[in-house]
Amino acid sequence: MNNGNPIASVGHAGLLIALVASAYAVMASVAGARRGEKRLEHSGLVASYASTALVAFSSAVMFFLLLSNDYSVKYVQQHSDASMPWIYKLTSFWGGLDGSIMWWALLLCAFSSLAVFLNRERHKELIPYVIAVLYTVVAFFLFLIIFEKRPFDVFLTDAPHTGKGLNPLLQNPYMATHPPSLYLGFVAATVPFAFGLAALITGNLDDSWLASTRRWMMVSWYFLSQGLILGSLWAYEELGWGGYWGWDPVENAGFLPWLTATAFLHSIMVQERRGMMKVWNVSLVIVTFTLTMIGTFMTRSGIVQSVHAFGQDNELAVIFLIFISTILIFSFGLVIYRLPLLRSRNELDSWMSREFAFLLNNWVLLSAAFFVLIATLFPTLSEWVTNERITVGPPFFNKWMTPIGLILLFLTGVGPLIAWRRATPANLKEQFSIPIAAGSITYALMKLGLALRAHETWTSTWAFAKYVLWPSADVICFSLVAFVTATITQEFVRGARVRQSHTKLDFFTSLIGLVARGKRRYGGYIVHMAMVLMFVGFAGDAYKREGEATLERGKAVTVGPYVVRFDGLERTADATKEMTTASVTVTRDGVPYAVMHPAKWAYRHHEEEPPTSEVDIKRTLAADLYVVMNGYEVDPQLANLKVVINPLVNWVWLGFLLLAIGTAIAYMPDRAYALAGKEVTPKDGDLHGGEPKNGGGKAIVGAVFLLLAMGGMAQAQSVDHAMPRANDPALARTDSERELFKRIVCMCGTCGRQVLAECSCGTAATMRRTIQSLLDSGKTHEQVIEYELATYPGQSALVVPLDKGFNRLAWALPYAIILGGVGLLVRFGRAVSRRDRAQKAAAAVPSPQPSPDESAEDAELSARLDDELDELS
Amino acid sequence: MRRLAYYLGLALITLGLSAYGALVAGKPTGSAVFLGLSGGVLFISIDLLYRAARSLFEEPPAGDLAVATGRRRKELEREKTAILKALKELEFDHEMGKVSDADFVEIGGIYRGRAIRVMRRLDDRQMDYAAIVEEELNKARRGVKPEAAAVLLATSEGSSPIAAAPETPSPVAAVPSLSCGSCGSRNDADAVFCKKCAARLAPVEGVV
Repeated sequence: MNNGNPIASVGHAGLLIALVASAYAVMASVAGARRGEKRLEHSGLVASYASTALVAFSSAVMFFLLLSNDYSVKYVQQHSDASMPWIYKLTSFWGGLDGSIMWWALLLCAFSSLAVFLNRERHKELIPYVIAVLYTVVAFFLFLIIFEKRPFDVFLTDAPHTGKGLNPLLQNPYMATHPPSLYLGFVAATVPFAFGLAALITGNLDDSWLASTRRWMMVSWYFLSQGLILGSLWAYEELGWGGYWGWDPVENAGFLPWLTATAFLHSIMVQERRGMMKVWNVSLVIVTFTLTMIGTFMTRSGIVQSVHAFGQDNELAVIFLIFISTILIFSFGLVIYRLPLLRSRNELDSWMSREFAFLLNNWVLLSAAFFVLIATLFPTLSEWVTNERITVGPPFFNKWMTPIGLILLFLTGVGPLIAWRRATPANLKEQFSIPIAAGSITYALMKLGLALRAHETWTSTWAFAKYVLWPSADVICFSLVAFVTATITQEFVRGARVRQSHTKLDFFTSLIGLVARGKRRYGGYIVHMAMVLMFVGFAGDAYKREGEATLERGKAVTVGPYVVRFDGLERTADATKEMTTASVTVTRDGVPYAVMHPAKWAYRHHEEEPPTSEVDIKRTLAADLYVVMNGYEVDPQLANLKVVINPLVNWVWLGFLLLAIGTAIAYMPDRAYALAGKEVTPKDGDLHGGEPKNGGGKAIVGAVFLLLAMGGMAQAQSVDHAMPRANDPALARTDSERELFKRIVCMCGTCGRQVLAECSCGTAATMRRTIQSLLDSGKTHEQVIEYELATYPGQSALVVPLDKGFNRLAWALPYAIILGGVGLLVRFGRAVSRRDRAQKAAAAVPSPQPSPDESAEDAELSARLDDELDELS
Repeated sequence: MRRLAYYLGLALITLGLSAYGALVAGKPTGSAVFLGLSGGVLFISIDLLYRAARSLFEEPPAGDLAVATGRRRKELEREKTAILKALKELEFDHEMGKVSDADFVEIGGIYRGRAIRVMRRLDDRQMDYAAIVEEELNKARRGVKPEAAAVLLATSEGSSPIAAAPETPSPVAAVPSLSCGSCGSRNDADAVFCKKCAARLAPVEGVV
């Protein structure tokens, strides 16, 4: 126990009381609501606030312990050090397993109380159950930090006098921004879940819970996006392998709920507008929350291997599994129980409708989520089934996610243009002619340009024609980018024109008025545009070039148009680390371009860990020049330099900035709603959705920009995979060799299973050399693969598992998803055509057309309707 | 006054602890700030815990009168807003050329019809509270005083509540109350026994 340190004991006691208060809040709320005891209900509400305050208290105590370097507390000793700057002392709060769970509990408490406070008047009948759900989750996390992972534990014997300090990998500004963003995204997903569950429990399944849910889901979605992008930046600048997304399990854990949250934000519109897809939406909320839990579980239980998982912990894994299964059984049990209340009010009218575009988009997003989930968990699943840990590497993900991404990009363009209910050929033509022209022209120009640039390789006209006609992912991507950009521009321009015809104002005023009037719609379009920019960046990856060489002083390596010359090394030191910095001069096409300084930093107290690589990046919108020093020798001065040209990568980050702007616009309250609800007294706040008291929302947005600004100051740094070797990295000599290197992963165990073609560590070089000598002795690729299988346990050396036995599942899965989707579409198509036939039959019988309601006595109501519509515009 | 004392106490604890921390360290430090913060938050926590316990014995704050029918009304209003927005967007889409004229007329007609139906129901509901109360009263009176019930039925039959409810004189006034034969107390029209002296008011039927 905490006998040795009274302050730590107080912190621990705070958590204990908070657990009791949470449990009480849950029970009092439920009992109060069921028995109609207002006093009990109110007591539960206040107790939930008290629980939040107590967790905040314990967190403040933890911050105090960290800042006062109290090494008698184990957590402080293991993750902090007096010599670290104060900001890293604060970030070490979430730098370790125990603290990170406590941080999670703190954020969850804060969001829970905020959500309850903002909605306490609006959804009176839901609130007790919202509290019950939220604080059950809080209690779960408090239980973990009180009984399993105890951040306030102290040393029973003499405490050490120095701290170990934060892991060097984590000592950078991204540590202050990336994990909190992801956590905020994860935690915010709990609020929609609580509202959804409360609606299911009480049976208030009209659309009232949707408004609050949608806004919180937007918060969650935004922070997940931010967390993912900051994570990519972190990987790009810190890990030093030249890329930003490697399908690491922990990044996937954030990507999964992002996919389902995106799906929800789209399908919710169908429910609002057409009263359809109710079961689907409720299920998406539940699934999103469950995925955040699974993400937490994957990161903290050691069930998957990753560069930044916290390590193996079976007991924690079991507890999480029990909790997740309970959530799933309980939630979907409720959904089934409430199925009668969740019936659709409408049916799909046509294949050519926005509803169907949304349905398609949801199906694609969900399949992506399912695919990523299974592929991420595949090593674990295969270990259970076949006792052999089989990992699927980035190429496997890329192979399937590239088409999925392209389909989504296509739908991004189609969705906004297509009408609700039914689109006719005539308006399809009117809407799509310009965008399709834009896309086709881009496609043709790019293909021709690329073909002409490589004209010397065309031996015949046929080969040339084949090249031009055969589609490649990058060219399709750029064409789709043009297509979507054209649709969005067209939407803005035509919308502004229509508005101009009403208001008689100039074009730009109309444009601004248009966005102000339909914030949600046009904010959404801006987010779509942001995705387009990101796709430009993703497509740029196809033109990535890299080179690596070990250089003496004054010698140079050439990559593309750049000549990179090594000029010498310099050694310096400060309080926490020793730094070795290389000086590199770059010329481009013979013209001086830049002087760069990649470096290696060795941290004190972390001698057992390899020194970190400080990447130097020269950024332009066209391409990044990325130089990393993998190894060096001081005498004689030698440096192993890896040079990567990353075209268009900055568009990804730019896209995110636009995404933030679009989200902010969409999040602002829609005035049209307030006008429409004019006749309603202000008390009936439901019409205004979750909008009033928007200060909270704006504060959040402000905080985001602050976080971003901090992220921008980041500096590059990374951990090298293995100790540097100054000798030849043995890069691929031919294209076929490179193909082979792409099938085999580096087995050093620290670089996160990069493929041999990309990994720059010493182990990879050795493996490459072995393979090259095998090839030189006349072995075929298959024989090399057999050799690798024999050398390393199981199939661990392979990127993509061999196509046999249980592994077929990994191969079969994407096909199964596609087949399932096709089946669904066929079923739906049958239903539509059957209905069409029935309608035709019905049409043969003369029916009283234009709505029977519009009789003479409704003339007055009709006039009133016109008035209200006028006021709305 | 109590509010003031509360905030004063909060500020005193937070600043006092911070100052103490700074004094011990010899300079203002981050840990002193968090010492003060933890003191302040602890103060708030204790207050909240106390209030949670106290609210068990006190009446909850007013404004909790949830009218059962109010929810349905809100639901209708939400539906109306949704339909209006849909109509608006349909008009906009039509002007943008995304919806053909024929479709615009057809779909718009459906939406308009639905909107009018909802508006009519909303209008009905506006009269509803009075109507519901009366209906409940009627139910209670029916069978006991056939003539009074007949009067009530006559007012509600034939005309819709929209027209009928405002003009109808309060039916309660039309129903005479009973006076007790033995003590003279006024009793409800359907009372069987006097609420004061327990004497039988209504004649016993079916007993020979």
